[in-house]
Amino acid sequence: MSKASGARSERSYRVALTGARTFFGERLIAALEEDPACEHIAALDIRPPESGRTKTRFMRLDLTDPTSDEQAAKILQDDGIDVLCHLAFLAHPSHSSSWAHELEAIGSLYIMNAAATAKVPKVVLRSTTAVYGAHAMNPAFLTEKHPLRGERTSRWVMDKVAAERELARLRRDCPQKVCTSLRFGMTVGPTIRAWWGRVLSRQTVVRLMGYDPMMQFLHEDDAIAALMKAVKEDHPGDFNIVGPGTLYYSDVLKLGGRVSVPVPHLLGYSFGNMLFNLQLADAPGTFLNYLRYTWVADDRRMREVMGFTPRYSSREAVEAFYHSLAQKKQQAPAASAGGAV
Amino acid sequence: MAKTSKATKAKGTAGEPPVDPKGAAGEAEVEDVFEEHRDPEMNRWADAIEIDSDVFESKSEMLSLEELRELVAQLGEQPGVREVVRFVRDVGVVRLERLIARWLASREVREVDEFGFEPSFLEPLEGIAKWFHDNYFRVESRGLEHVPDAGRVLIVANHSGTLPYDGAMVVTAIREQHPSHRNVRALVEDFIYHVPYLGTLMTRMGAVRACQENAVRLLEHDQATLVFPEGVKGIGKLFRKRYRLQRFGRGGAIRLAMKAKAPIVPCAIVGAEESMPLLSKVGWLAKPLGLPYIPVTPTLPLLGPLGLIPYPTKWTIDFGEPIDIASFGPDALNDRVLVNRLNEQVRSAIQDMIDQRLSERTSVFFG
Repeated sequence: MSKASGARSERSYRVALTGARTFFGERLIAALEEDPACEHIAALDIRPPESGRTKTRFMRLDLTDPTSDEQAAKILQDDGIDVLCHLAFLAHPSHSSSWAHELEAIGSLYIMNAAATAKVPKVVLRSTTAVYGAHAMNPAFLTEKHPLRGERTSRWVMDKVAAERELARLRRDCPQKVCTSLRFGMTVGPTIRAWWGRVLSRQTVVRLMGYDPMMQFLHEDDAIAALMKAVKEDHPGDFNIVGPGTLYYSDVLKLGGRVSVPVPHLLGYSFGNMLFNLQLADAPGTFLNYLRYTWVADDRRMREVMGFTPRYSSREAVEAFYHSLAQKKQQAPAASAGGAV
Repeated sequence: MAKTSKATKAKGTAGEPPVDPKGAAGEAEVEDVFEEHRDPEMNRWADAIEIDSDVFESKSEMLSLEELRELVAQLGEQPGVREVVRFVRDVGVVRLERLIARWLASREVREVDEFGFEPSFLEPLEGIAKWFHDNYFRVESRGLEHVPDAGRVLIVANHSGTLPYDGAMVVTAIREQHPSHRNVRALVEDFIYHVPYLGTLMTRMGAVRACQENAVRLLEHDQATLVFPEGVKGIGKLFRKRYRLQRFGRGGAIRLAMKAKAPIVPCAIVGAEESMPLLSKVGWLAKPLGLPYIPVTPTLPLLGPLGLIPYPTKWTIDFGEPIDIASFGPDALNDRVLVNRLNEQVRSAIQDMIDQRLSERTSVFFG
């Protein structure tokens, strides 16, 4: 990474990031603290990040607050921000979906408006390949041009799609701005927590009878490396950030030594919704579509245009994930699994 | 319970003398064999058993151990029996071991390509497909030299026969008889991905859902790709419309060949239409199952799953001269009229090959 931006590393930059307390925020702050070219980090969240050191200045910003756009614009202007990273997204489908909608969809609207007002030259959005949605009619490899169909009945996915739409609007309104959307595949690793990680880490894992989609994964280190690359270099456009290679879902479970429970799909959806409403399942029934149809993203644009190569392949990422799970189980069986994303 | 057993014992001791000499002789010999194991305690138990079993009248007719041995020896002399025993011992046990090994191997992650094609999954099925190809349909392939040994090629074929046996046979014909033995990747209709098991099964066997993105990617990987542009219209046409090619979609195959700069090899399959004549289609039942229609053939709903077996018609597969589409420039892609004209050209080439072959054919079952 440092050699790729050799000429550019002289140019110092100031970063603001929303969702500083999320996994991506914490890890990006840690990486930026290490980078000598980074002058200043404005960490925006409702709680201060733990990884902030000397360069980090925490400012409380609640994106569900209707005046947050004004507050954000003021911070961006006062700190002379060059790069805005919008990372304030929930990794789990929330039970209070209207609050989540305010935070993710409307919060993105506020942040994009603030970036336009404060004339921030670069905006980086953390997105997910789930915005394409899992559909039977998907091509085997989804390119960035594919329409973002999402998952009509899932607020969690549709809020991500709304955030993407806000970024697209910003790109249209301010063509001189560098607007980057990084669509991460299922990100797994020793520390990240998201719904698919929770699903896969269970000892018995749900599988839809007669469906075995191809899947791809991204290691969390690669996700942070891609974010850093997007922050340090200018890569306008959308990029699928995924590990090379694809795996069958059943093979993922085999790699983890997990027992799969086949569920007929006609029952699965309503049953899944019921379990989610009882707070027994990690995600509502509609998320079973992601275990039913293939939603593999094409990584050619990432490799050829952005010039980013993940260090872990999909399979290696899954293996690293399960390896870390096994180690955690050995070391601290009583360690709590809760906490922030 | 205990009372009755006591009663039978008493009765048994009373009826001891009339035991017939044959059975007694047998017992005596058995006793000889186990002489050294005799101790008073065991003896008492053995007597009890004898007396108990004495109740049954059939006792006198029961075979002694010696007779049984004799019988087995006689059976062993029968022709074939020894071979069967040896087969079960040598092959059966090995087979069982192999089955267990396969089950264990199913726990390990096998090599697949990025589309999900798993060659080791296809291997056991290849034998079946080869048998259908060689012995059942007796497929006769002509013009295989038109399929290149390597590099991208789009094979465009007519679709027929209610169930897509024709695709399997084209793939097998090229795998078995083409000098390069190359794998052909078939593009399949969308609906199978809605149906449980079917989509995964086809994907593992190397099929890919028919859409431009997938097909271009396959061709860019220099794969031989098989496409049936008629789609469901072709496979689901009624028997009275047999060998009349339906519309070739919207020219997708042509645009695909232009995009990927791949030659088109027209392919005419004759014989598949009669192997499963489609008499009627049932729509209302198909919708909840996610199928385009439920086929009605002379045997299909009548015989249940047996109806899925095609009739042993004689098949021929003709590969025609490659049609060079790549020479048209990139502008041709947007010239829809040109695309449609080329589409018709490919269609009529295949129709001509079919008509030629039909005029030569004298019998549906013997060619």
